[in-house]
Amino acid sequence: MNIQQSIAQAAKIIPIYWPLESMIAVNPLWDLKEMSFIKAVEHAKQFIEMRGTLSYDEYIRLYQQGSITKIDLKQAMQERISNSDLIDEYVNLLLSEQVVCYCTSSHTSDLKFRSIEFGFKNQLLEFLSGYFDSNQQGWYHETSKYPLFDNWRKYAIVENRTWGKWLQDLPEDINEMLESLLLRLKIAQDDVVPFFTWSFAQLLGWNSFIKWLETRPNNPLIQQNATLSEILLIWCCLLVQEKNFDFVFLRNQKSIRKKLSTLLPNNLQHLITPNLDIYIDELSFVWQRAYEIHQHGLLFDKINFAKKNLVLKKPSPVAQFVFCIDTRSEGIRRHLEKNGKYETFGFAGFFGSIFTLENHESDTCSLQAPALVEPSITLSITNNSKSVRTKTLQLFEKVAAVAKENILSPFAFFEMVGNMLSLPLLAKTLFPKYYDALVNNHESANKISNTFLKAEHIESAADSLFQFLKTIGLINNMAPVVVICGHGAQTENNPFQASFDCGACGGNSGAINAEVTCEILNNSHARELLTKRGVSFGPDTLFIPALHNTTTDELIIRDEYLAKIPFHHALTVDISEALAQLKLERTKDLPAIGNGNDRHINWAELIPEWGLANNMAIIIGPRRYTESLNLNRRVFLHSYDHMMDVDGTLLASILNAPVIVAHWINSQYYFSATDPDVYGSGNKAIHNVVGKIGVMEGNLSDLKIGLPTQSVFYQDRLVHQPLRLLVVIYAPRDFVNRVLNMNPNVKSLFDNNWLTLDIVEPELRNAVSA
Amino acid sequence: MFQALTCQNQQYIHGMNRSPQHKIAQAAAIILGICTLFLLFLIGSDIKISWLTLHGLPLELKFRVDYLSSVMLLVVGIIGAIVFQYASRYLLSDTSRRRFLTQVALTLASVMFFTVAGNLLTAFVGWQLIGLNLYVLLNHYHYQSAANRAAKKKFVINRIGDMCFLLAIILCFQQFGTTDYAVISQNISFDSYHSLILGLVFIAVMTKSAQFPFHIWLPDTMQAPTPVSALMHAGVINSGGILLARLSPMINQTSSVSSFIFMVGIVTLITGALFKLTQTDVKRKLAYSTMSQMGYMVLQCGLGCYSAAIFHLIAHGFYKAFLFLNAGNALHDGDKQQLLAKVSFKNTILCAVITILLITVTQQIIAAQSIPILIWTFIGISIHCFLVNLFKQKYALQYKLALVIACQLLLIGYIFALTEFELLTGLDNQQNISTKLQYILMGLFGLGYLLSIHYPVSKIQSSQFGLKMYQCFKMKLYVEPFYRRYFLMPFRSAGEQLNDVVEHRMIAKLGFFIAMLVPIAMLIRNIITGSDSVNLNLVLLVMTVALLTMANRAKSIKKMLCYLMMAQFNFVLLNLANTEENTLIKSITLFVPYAALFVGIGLLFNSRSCEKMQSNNDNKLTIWGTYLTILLFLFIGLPGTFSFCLLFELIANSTASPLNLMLILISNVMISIVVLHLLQDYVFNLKQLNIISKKISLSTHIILLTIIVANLVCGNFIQYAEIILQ
Repeated sequence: MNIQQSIAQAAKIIPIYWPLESMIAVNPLWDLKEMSFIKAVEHAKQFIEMRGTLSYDEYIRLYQQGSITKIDLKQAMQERISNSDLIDEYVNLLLSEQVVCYCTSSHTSDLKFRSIEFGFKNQLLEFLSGYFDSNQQGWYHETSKYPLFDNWRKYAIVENRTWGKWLQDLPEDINEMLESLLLRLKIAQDDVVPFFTWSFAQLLGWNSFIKWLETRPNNPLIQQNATLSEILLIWCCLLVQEKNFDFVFLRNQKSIRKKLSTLLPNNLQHLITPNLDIYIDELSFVWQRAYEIHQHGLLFDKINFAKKNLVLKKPSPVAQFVFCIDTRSEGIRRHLEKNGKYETFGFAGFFGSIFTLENHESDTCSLQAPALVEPSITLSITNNSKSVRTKTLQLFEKVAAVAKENILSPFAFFEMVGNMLSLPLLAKTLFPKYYDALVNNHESANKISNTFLKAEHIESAADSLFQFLKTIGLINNMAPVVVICGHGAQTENNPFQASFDCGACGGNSGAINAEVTCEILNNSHARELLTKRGVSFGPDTLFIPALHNTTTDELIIRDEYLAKIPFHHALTVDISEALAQLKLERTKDLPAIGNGNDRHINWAELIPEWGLANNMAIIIGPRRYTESLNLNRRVFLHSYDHMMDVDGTLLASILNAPVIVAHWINSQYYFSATDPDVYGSGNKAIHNVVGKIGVMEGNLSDLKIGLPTQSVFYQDRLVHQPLRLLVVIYAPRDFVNRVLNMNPNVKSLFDNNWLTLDIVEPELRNAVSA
Repeated sequence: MFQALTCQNQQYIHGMNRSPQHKIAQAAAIILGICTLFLLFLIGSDIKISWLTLHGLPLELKFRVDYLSSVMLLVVGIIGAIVFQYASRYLLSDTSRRRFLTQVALTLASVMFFTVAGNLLTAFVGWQLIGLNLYVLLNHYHYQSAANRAAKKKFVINRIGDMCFLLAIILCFQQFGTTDYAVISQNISFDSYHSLILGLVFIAVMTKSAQFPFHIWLPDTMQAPTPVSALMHAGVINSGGILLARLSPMINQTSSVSSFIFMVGIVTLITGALFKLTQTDVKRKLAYSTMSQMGYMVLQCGLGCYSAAIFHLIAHGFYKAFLFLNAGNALHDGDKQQLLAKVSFKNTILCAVITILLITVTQQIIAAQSIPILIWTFIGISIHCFLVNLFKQKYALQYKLALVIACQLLLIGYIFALTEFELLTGLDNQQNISTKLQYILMGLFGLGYLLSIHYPVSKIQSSQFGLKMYQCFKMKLYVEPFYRRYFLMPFRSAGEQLNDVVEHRMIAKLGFFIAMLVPIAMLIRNIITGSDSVNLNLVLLVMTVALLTMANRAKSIKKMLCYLMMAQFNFVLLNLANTEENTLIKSITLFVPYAALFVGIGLLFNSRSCEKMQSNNDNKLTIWGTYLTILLFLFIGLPGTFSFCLLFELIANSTASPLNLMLILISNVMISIVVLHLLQDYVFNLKQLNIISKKISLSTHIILLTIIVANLVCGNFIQYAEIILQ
């Protein structure tokens, strides 16, 4: 194995970290997906101090609460070992005091190599944050010109004279350099991959960010380039300088793992064969599985109940709504449908249009696309109608922000302006609502230049929109009004805004995607193209973009669009009714001071909403099957009709994109809940923003990845139930299997227990209705 | 059933909303607010409370509400209210939110106590209370080692200042017989004694207001929740400025001190600003900005513009509180590219002309003679920088014109407010620094500023020298490594050596005990013969320092406590050796409280150990740990505890011999280091290595509480004890 291969092998343990502004949820163990879930967690455990499941105490608590029952445990155990004679014994052992004590008290570390605190780590952290900084440092240096290692070497030589000689003597080529360093460090050939993995694990946060840079060299968000080999080089150079460093000494003595069978009474010992055994420290996986079985069972009960009581004939809807598959859309869809006049659909929140959005005014750009796709088209947004007052204020803010960065200017400047700031300070804290009304103008008169409508792009746009309409089955029964509803969150003073926004739109608000899609669908030329492909538009079908503000639970349709709807009065009344019910439902489980109505504008708010907490499943199928259910905003809902999908391409594309995205979101929540210190980003109250990249905790720490504790915990209690994603598909079993066999990479996710599959046969429905 | 769990969670959360936690905290805040308002009505009145008589000196607490203190009260009140309201929401998901809010209220109360102080002693008491409260606040997440280390660092550095402050107070007593601001500012003499007192107070100010080279604690305080930073940078760090303003009549008379203050201010201003430039995270950037702003404030004090300094403190406080509380938005800050945009030379000159014009217009409208030329320089630089950046923007002309006019109005308003503020506070403003020097500095600063806008640092960076400079400032001029290398490491390794020797060699052990006995024997001889041996003090002090050095690196908690107690014992002996009064009574009053403390600690260790483990995330101390913490804090010498009386007498006794004085002060700083070290290792349970959790019976509770209360009573009413005994 050459060096680059070893690095690639070792780098599998590193998650991918998207810069916080466009944070996209990712499964932190994604690159270990060829292994089974348990194997992957155990592999990571060798290098990272993590658990991968809840603590044993927590499971016992859940058992006592009745959220896990003995039957679930038996079933979970059965999945693990197949001998049915021993299952009962094992489950009894599982609950015995002996095992519980063993598992709760003596937590032996599974680390294969110990991690040690190096004195140089802080300096390395400082260097990395300086290198990738693009907006904080006043003493700016153009790092994008120099690769990471060269830049580091430049500083290291200045910093420490004794280094000068040998640092410059290193070979030119990165691989040779690494090889010579490995020799110096006396790393044995077999130890190279473990050593690299260990090195990566010591600085997980920044390495995840660099891994992202490596996979996204053309991203418009960060200019610097760096590779994982370079960070390894720096790490090795630093280790060479460290006296007494010997990798071999870091190896932990393998603790003897106890098998559960050793605890069995003697008369049963003869029944045990090696494959009928389980290590005691693996029992938490059994617990986790039992927990999932229980929760899934509850969902199945609901689904089956709904299937039996399916109402087939329904009046044709007055208006149709397309929502994002996001779990939060489930609530609003349920309340809208209650009315009986509306039909809703679910599709990934980009609604068929993927692009990069440029804002020339603020010199920012965002990727309005899911993580799996790189957009090729760029749209620009301008904000042209602004009052003089806003513009002057904006100019002042801009100038003031620069003026206070100079070395000598801030002193008198603070003195001149400071006292006046007491007013916004008071207003923002005590009267956030009035402040918001006074200062922020909500007239969003954004003008988007829709490049898709240009002649050279319209064909491809029509293709992707046809795919969109066909997938959700909205081809020939369109209502006069189709509202396409993106979602976005509104938070204040919150670096984690993106984690509440639409994941399918690159951690941005989906409103712009909805708007672009509507504009194309309303365009006569595009409609012609779509009609050729088989979509039948009504004569007066109207596509209306909307925004679901998930923090305030408002559905915003702009007046100019609203005016076009003939029955807009009735529509707004119905929508606001549905929203009121949804709001009641959602505020019930949010902690708040006072009535909590200012959550979206209060700058002291750390929990603006629970986001996608408690997500557990994705349902792929026609909405009519689940329409009558209250799914508690725990389920992603993707519209899909297998009757439209003869060759299975639509299902394949759903399995390849939205299911993966849902799985990533689910795993991000899962691991942030099980390992808040490693895969969660810690306490929001002490977060400290670094550059334009992310946060660290307090004075100086590694870059923090994942979700903050305030997203999955409330005080010391878990708010999110960590369950691996359940995929429910409404389609014939053979059909699904065929599609899965054609997509081996998705199939392996199911086989490796990263996802659980459940298929609901629609044929049954015909039988019942007949 | 499907909803069962979520429902439970919901109920749990729901229940939390309605808990009275918030109400209690809010009530506390309201009471605090009412007290503030009440104080505001008392403008011009004095309140005197006689407190202690130590070493024949009548210690008196004096409170005075004048215009300066009422303005500061108002500012602290507003910032306190904001921080309180903010924190009560911010920490909603924190299990120990109530404790945090109480602590914030206590800190605010102590800042207010300090603000209304009418003499140095009262100010010192307030100063100590602020320090203690901040230590607890910074330690809010005490299970995190970084938080702990930061709090410890802050406390120890402040302790150095505190000792200087205490010495200054005692010198003041011996010189003037009182520490009343009003009295000492009338008693003006020009001797060096005077400068010494002021210099010592200024060192205390330096530690509190993060002046170079005592700034190192400030940027490390980000391990506490954001509202703490806002409170600290807006409300607490100001205390240094207030103290300087209070002493302004004295400082104005001693030019050496004011030039020293001026110099420290300039150094802090420049270093702070440069440190800030190399910072990549928003909070530490703000911390270094505070440091340089405090430098500017101290510079203003050095110039003699105390009212401007106070004005700056207030304005900076609001600004910094805003920036800290808004730190979460930093992710969306603009790009640095803007800064790099080239400034044309023509533009610079044009802006300079406009700046001079604006300033001249302002000077024509408002007569502000008291503002020295250096301050005008800084105002000019700010306006120029604003204008240069304004003209760089691609906006229509009318917006820019509007902002130039706004700038003019702002300037007039600011100068007006400044002159009015000067009248209101009635501070004695003088020009302490010669105009010539000011012109030179004006030229230097102006040049530096022009360079900074025309040659962005990225250009300098490409040279070897630039790299070196960058690295140097990124490492913060190696101040901290310097301390580590030349103070901390020798102290630690000496402690380790001593421990090794005492532990492993039998002879050394024996020698150790004999050495311990020598001072006692000498003391007994002294008492019997009545003669005073001069060397005894020195022997005892050297012993104390050695003991504390050992205690710091002792291997177990028991040894640590043992050495600490021995050191304290030596202190008592020392005081006894110097006393001229009735030795028996003195020794009883001295020994009893300490003996009680030792008994208390002994009791703690004898209580039964408890099986239950403390979970990490509770963010609560064990009862056992709490008692130990309180008992140990009684040793440190905080006003109001018995150890303060002892310390006061010790220092007052030894003012004649500088060497002894030094040793006493050093050993007292060392006591706090040892205590904090002990707490860090054994009470705050870092890394969960040494969990000590013991069950405490009711009788032990009662005894411990009695000991603590008795100590506090002793500390506050010691003269009565002596009277009763006599």
